[in-house]
Amino acid sequence: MRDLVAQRKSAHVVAIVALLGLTPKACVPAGGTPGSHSQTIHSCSPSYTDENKLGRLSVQQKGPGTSIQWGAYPKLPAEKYIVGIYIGDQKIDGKNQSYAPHGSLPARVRDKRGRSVRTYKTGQVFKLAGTSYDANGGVVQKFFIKCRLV
Amino acid sequence: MLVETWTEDRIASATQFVAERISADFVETGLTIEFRIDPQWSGVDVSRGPESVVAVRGGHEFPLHLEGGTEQACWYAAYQMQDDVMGEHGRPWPELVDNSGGYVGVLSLPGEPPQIAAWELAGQPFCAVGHLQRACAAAGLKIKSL
Repeated sequence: MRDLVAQRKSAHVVAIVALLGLTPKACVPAGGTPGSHSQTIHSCSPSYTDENKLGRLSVQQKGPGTSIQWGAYPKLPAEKYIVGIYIGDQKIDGKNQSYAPHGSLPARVRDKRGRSVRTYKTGQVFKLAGTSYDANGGVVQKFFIKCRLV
Repeated sequence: MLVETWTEDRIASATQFVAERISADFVETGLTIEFRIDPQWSGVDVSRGPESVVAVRGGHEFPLHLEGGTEQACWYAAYQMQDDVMGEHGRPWPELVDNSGGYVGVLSLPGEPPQIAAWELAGQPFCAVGHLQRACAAAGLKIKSL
């Protein structure tokens, strides 16, 4: 999937029509690691939403140690949406689909020893980075949001 | 009790077991699941351990969390795939109805890993993941068609 994004980003037909989000944190710097240029990081809890005329990005974390819900709802018509979900630098989910992506992450899983462990640590950064494509594979929108988990 | 040692054979057996149970429950949705080993997803220093098993459901990829055992893996795969079904069809699933078509409820999966991966109805265990279709029949219920 990462290869697919990179391939399409390098194509001559790529035209970034719009970047979702009004602030630098909502944009994907060209060629940069998602979120690497952001200075201010909002809390994910109880929710963090970035919305403008181009769409809405949302992350909800009810409180410390709770599950995380996320969604990306770009408004420009697109045929395909590809998103990566990260906690810190760790990818935890990836979607390539024909409708606006959303998902959730449980708060806890069991480790190899059967112990219940959190899926994230307080203070880690949750990141959503995605791109929507038209029927010809051209980029319609890039979108990005990140927030700090409590 | 979990055995902490994971061999390639054990991983293969475990993923096959998970695949069979998931496929049985989601057979009517048209969704299928496959697995691949991808150490880049694990984020820890294990090259081919259970942490490296990634579930692939169409364009959706997620770690299976097999390191916590097959019950956890079944729970997590079903948890993610239920979201996929509902996202693709824009309606709750699996919605149970009685023989007259009356609404009974929508099954869900717990938000945290259970000891046994099970579907719940109104917060109470309904059946183990992998037995959904037959459990519905045995309960005199049907899953409303998508």
